[in-house]
Amino acid sequence: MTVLCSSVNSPEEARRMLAAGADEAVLALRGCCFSALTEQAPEKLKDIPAFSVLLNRLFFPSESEKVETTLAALREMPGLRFIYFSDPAVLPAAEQLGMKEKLIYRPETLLTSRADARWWQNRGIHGVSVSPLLTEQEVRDILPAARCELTMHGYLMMTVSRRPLLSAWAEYRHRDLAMKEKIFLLREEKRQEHMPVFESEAGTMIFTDFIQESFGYAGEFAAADRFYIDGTFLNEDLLADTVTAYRQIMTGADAASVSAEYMKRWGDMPFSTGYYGQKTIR
Amino acid sequence: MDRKRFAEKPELLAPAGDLARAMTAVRYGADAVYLGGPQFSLRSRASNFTLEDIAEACRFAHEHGSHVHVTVNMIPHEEDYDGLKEYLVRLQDIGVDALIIASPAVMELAGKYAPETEIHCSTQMSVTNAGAARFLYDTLKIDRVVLARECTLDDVRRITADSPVATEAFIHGGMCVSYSGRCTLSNRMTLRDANRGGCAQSCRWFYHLYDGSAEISTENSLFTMGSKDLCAVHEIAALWEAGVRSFKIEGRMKTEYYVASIVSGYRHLLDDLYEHNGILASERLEAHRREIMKGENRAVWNGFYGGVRGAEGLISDLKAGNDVNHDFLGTVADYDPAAGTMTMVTRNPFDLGEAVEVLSPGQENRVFRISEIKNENGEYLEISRQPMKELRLKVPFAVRKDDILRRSREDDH
Repeated sequence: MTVLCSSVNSPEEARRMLAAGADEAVLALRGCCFSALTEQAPEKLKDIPAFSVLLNRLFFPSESEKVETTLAALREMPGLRFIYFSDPAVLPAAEQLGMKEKLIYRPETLLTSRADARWWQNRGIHGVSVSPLLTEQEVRDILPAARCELTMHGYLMMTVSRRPLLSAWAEYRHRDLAMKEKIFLLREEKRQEHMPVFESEAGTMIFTDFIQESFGYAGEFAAADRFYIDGTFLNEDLLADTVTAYRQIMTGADAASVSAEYMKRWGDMPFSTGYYGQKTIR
Repeated sequence: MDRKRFAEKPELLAPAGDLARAMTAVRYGADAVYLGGPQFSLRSRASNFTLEDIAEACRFAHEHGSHVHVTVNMIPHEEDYDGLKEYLVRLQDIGVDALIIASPAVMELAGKYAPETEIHCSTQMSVTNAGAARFLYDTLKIDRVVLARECTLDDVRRITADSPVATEAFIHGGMCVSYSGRCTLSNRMTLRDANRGGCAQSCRWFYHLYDGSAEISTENSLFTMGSKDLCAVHEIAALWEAGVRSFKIEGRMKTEYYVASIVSGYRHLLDDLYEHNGILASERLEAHRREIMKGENRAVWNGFYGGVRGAEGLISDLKAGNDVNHDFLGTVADYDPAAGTMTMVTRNPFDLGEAVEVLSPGQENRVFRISEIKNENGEYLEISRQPMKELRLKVPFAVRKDDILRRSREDDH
């Protein structure tokens, strides 16, 4: 049975998404995450009944202790389901604490083939989160290779820089910009679409100009271990409707009808089926 | 400063986009070159090496005491595995010294099908700590890790001290604004896959910036995020002392002239540091920097070695840092010692009376002033304006075929 999880921006939002049909809420841990706008202190998570955490930063030498203490704190939380990571160093650290099987490798862009999915799975972790750059056929091909999670819905992270790019722009242009937990938008000079961008202590993250949606693919991808909804830039009502829609499809409702109903309310948002139908070239 | 560290020279690793550039890099002092074939490499537009070319590069490099590393560093999709095993076997058979790989599955295949060839973990994996290096060593027996360019000098020191495998660090050339391998701007903007060699460098484009629905940029202050190039001249001694095994120059897309200039510059710098136990006066170091910068035509900074910074490391203006360099005047095709003349093949314009600097492998650069130019008909010229023409010039000292001629900036100091 595929697990439905949704990233959320707060413990309160986590409870609402669980009520809306999510099996797990995914939260970002303070100082440990690349891809989330808001980050939580570990102690704020302890009362959430089913949650996973994003520990998906690349860590520098001065941060190795933080990884170990964070993992140790998580070990004590009964609601913890899984830990997302992208830095290979997290794996042996988790293994030392007997937590290896709680890991899901989520390197955003680096997992694009069956052989790599199998390789990571064979390290004894729970599973892998495959790149959202795959076509429909590539997704079908990779699913049997490992316990795979698919990012079904939400803005996709496009790039992550260690540099404070927005601050740099403001500094160079002598502008005063408040950055904390604030979303800005970028529009490429010759295009009309807007891409969310934010800056945190980890650097600068830019997301797609579209919201990935996969309502029509949920049945076809039913062999996936997990469906992931990225709620980073979705307002709470939209996110709750999204969770409910996937839950309905996963429990047998007609995907086209569910999608049509959903689009009646949210159809003015920039939805796209992303790369399912278009392969990027070399 | 730990002077014992300077008893052993690190490797100077240079890029090569084709066989000619590989040979040039070796001639000018590279201890190793890295290059790629068209199918499995990340810089697909700079990866023109057939297996025969790679074999020839190995033969030439090994004759000169140098090594060849081959990039097999794409992030593979299913179809990218077609022919990969056979390719790895062939690379080992023809004597390639190391494979630069990003995918663990490909590393595993390399360990099986090219077990005699070293495996170097590509910077695409963005290794930023010793724990990651140790994990890759324990699981895949890698021989070296190329560190993420986001590492500060202190990070490099700590990783190198604790890593079970040798470390390699970039010292010069282009930098991604994002963590390598973690950027899909190009995929979205152009449908070209950055992780399979198709990067369109969309980071160097211009963007309008909005706070909600209000634009906060103007036509004259658009947002951009193109990185300045790296130049780590002032950090070389510290990197060496930290124990970094290999110093890497980026630039498989760069010209033969760039490769010769930059490799030659760093060769002289490393040799000078070696002779002086890692200690050079600041004036001497600055002289090396000026020499290296003669071959560079982009704005540079010292990367993350100087810490995490913002505007200082970015090309924030439309025209800043992108000057076209017209200093490469040509190459020597032949030298006639009896007549004291050389035949050169021209590239950029020059005039009679100009000062010319000769870059000759293994030698200090020498300068002469052009006193006589003749064309192929023996006619005297006062100017040269056409590229790829053979001209005969008087030269006051012996030169060799393939020596590089560049405009001397006498005001450089």
